[in-house]
Amino acid sequence: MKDKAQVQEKGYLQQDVGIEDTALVRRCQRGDVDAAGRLILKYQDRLYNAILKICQNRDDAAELTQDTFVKVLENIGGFAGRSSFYTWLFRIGINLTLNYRKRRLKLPMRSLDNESSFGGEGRASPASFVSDFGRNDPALAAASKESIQLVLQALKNLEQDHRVVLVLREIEQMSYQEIAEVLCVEPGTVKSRLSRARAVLKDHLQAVLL
Amino acid sequence: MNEKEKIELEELLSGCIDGQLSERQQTELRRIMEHQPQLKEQLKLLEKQSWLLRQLPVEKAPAGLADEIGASLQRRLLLASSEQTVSESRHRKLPAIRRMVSAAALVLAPLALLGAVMITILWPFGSEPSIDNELAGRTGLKVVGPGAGAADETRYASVLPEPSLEARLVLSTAQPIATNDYIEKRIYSSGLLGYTVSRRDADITTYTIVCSAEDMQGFVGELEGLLPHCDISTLTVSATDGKSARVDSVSPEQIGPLLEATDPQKREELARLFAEQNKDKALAKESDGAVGEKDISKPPATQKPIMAWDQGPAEKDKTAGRTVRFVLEVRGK
Repeated sequence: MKDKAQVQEKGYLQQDVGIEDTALVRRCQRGDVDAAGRLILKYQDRLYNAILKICQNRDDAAELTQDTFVKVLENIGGFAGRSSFYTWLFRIGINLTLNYRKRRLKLPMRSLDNESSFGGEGRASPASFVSDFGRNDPALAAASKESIQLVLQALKNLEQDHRVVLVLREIEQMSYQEIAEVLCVEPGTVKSRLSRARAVLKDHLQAVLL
Repeated sequence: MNEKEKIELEELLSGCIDGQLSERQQTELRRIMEHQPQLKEQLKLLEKQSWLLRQLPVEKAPAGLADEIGASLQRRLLLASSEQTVSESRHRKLPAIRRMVSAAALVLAPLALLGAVMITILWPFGSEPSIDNELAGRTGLKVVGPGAGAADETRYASVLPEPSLEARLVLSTAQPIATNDYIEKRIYSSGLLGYTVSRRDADITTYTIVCSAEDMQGFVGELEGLLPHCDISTLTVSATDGKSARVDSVSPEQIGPLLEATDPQKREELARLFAEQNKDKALAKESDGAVGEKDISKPPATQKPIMAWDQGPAEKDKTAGRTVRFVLEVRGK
């Protein structure tokens, strides 16, 4: 169970980030190229990582990340700030990814399984600082590298809706409310979709979990 | 346990993992666990699964993505009037072009930085206006922000020679980011980086360029692809004698002769002629019922690709001979 203080801390951080984003977005709306560059540099890695985990193809993820920022910057004049820039950006990114995946459904998916760097010396997710599960289990931590491939495979085998909600929650660490805004659904739908996704993934990961 | 109860229990366990349960739900879950000890094991598995997902490596976006986005915005701005914009799927089939643009950007960025360093060495004015952004470093353009004050402008203005003519081109556009990016790249590719001062106030960005009339002609020619996509493009030419001439909906071909004309009377006549021509064109379009519609029969002129090897700070003095001051004002709609 997550520590309330950590959740609160994340909330404060997001609030600060939101204030900075608002200023950058205003500057962007006035045509400030530098501000646009700052927003890109700030979010490009997070967006790329989330899209990559959903579409599981580096080239596609790079193109989709690029397309997302282009679309966002082209339409930033109409961004009224009713939601945060962060959720707006991810909404566009996730929609583009899902639409793209729909179009490519018939094509064989190139898996990341064969890409050695993925399971290599990647940075640990910031989320790992929140979770205290692995810290108390050195054996599990040691086994994690082998488990990564299995987790990726299991993630790939999930239904798209389930995969998206898990990526946004577990990898991007969004709150239920943020996920609801990104996916344009009710928080209750996020809650049920997430619990279902976890249950299905648990079945796929029996070999790793037990 | 029926299906509904099973789903409710799944939601309780999932909510527990996320710390989303209310006091009442927590009590309920504890009560259920007392009767079904195997649920504790299930909860542990879910925690383990959640931990594993968070161990997946975080992948960084490819280098040069910001440059590619800038290039893509420009392409889209230029192709806006074309009926067939390159579709996303086709775009993805052209990785070679993407790589080429990326490679050009990679070569361009260090050259721009080098240019900026050289300017700083050649004109050391004490503290520089801060450009604390990686993209600003890409072009090296001097940006005087709203907080910079008049001192910065005066300081840069003192470097530039006193021109015999001032032309102010006001552009209004719905895509100010792409427009500014376009202009900054053209300033750089025309070798006018050291002759330009940029200022950003509210929703207006102003570029003041002082150079020879000949070099200015070259730069103005580079605006060919941009002006048709601006909602307003008004040129005002003022000479030292105080006389000024204004042309609405001006085209790059019209700017050149106006800058070239040294005789104020001739300049005035030209401005009048161009203004009438533009008015006639607008009326003709209106009578054809084509006002507001984009001409899709002709694709926009293909832009000269920005090649890293034929640009960079020019060695030749661009203020030799007759100089002009060209103020380019970009207003967001």
